[in-house]
Amino acid sequence: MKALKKGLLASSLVMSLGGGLSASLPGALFAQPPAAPGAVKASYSLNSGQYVGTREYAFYGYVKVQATVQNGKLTDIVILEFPNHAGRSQYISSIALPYLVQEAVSAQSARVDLISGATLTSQAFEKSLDAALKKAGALSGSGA
Amino acid sequence: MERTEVIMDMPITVSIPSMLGVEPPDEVFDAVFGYFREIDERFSPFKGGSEVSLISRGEEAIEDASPPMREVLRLCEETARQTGGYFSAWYGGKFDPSGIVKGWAVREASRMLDELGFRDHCVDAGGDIEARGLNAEGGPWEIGIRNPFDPSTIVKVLRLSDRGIATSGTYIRGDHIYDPKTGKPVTGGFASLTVVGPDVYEADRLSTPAFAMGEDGIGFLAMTPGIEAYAIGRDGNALFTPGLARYMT
Repeated sequence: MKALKKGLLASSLVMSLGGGLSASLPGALFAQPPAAPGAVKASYSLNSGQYVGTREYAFYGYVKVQATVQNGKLTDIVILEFPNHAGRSQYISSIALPYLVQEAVSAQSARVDLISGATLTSQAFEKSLDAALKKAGALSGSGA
Repeated sequence: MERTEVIMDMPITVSIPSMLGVEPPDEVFDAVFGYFREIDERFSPFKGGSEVSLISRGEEAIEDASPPMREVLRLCEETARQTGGYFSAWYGGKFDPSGIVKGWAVREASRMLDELGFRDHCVDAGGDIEARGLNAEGGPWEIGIRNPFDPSTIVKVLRLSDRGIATSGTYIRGDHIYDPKTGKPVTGGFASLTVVGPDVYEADRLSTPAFAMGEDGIGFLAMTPGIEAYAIGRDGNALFTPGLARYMT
């Protein structure tokens, strides 16, 4: 088992995501914009502008996002409203980090009974973004 | 046998293995989901007529609160103390105990199943799970930790019996991870933090404050008796408390 000092942990955390794991939320809406502009299909037509999504209810609070579209591509998402149950004061740990074990995570698809994960507000996030993109004309029956 | 319903805007799943080929009756599931609907009615801060809203608006004195509300108020005070004031049920003059209610309600639902004679079961509310007894194969419940970088996969399997598990996470899109407190992209902190405790109430009430502590969170959890944790960094490396190894396959 490997003991980690706090400084080591902090430095490992500021490393960027370039290590190979791709990060994206579920669903096509969260895919990275295509690298080559020519790859954008005609049916994927977004009007430039900023679009505020609906305020979506999650048990812990509300989620609302704003999507920015430029040249037919989703270029930015700003989260306007978040559930917040973190409290106000900053927890300051003055005690050295206890012994911890480190390992590289690897994706697997083993069969399990249930899955623990933070999906609740992600889904509200997705719904709000979906509504913002509808305004941008991304989905059938609207926009150009 | 398993049933899922969406209550409090999250999928809630109750799983009870059949015993000697006999399936648990529907009425058992009806009772548990009925309980969650009562919890939503009483504790939702988004329903104007809920008891939480009445207290928030000062229309009900705390001394007049219902027994379950008094219990939750007591747990809020206790958690505020134990997290050094990091947890609070009062924000800007508004009362919102949701950070306590979820894990507490899942534990209560699990106790209800125990009392009805269904010793082996799982109750899962939006990824926060109470795992009691054994699964259909007669072994500990196998719970996956969701991959924060690709939610269609898992990164770990934990084998839990008579334990609770809860995970807090970030919003990930492209290279950006958002701080749930500010909504702004962050450069530090974990991508997700999973807490295993003696029950789901203990795991859930600690996971959110610990997650918000950033890198300090895993240290805080490691120093909390009876609690184990698995933290996934933004760089794809995980840190976990050595005691978690006993749940790994």
